[in-house]
Amino acid sequence: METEGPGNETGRPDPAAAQEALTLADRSAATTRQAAPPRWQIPVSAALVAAAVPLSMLGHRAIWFLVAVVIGLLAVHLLAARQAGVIGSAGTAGPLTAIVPGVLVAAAAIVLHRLTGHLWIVPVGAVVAAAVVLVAGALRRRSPV
Amino acid sequence: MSEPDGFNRIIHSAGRLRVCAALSAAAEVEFSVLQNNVGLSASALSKQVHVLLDAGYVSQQRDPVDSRRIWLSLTGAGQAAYRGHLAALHAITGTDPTRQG
Repeated sequence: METEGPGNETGRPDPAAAQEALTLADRSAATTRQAAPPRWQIPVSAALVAAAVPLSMLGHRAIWFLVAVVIGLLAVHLLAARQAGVIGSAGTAGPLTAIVPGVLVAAAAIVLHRLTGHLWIVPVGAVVAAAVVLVAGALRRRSPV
Repeated sequence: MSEPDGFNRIIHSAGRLRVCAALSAAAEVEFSVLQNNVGLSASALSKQVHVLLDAGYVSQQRDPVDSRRIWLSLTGAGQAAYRGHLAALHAITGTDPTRQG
C-alpha cells in the first residue's frame, strides 16, 4: 500500500496539506509517548534498589526489608505498565531489563559487605547500583511490548 | 530523496510519516505497538518499514528473549531526515517548529 503524504501528489504540499501532515506526525508521536513507560519508573526503581543495600544491614529483619524492596520493584513495574496502558500484556520490558543490572550490583554489594564487613561498601554499593539503573534506564527507553 | 531544504519524499508518505513520528518518540518501538499506533495491517506496515530500512532511516532488531518480537528504531540518518522534513513542513506552513514535533 503506497500512499502519498497528505495533499502531496506530485511535489511539495500546500500549507494546508503540510499542516495536515504535521498534525498526523504529532498525533503519532503523542500516541507513542503515551504508550512508553512513564518517566518516574526508572528513578523510583533506582531509589528502591539503592535502599536495599543499607536495609540489608538491619539484622535478622533485613530479609523482610529486602522482600519488601522486591515487592516494591514489582509494584512499580505493574503501576508503570498500567499507566502505559499495557496491563495484562508483557508490561514495560525496557525499564525492567534496566533494573536487573542494578539489582545484581546491589546484591553483589550486600554479599561483599557481609563477607568482608567493610562499611564503605554499603554507601558505595548503593550509589553504584542506583547509577547503573539510571544509566541503563536512559539507554533502554522503549515502548511497551 | 531529500530536497535541499529538508523536504523528504520518502518520509512524506502518510504511512511512513506516521512510522517516523511514532519512532521519534521512543528509543525503540515494538512492531505490534507501532502497528496499533499507525493503524496499518502487518503486511502494509512491513512494506512501509522496508522502504525506510532500505533508505537507512530505520533499523530493526529481534528481541533477544522472544525472537517473534521485532524492535524498530530511527537511525541517526533517519532522525536527521525526519527532523529536516518536519522543519520543511513548518517552513511551508509558516509555523514555529518548537511547538510540534
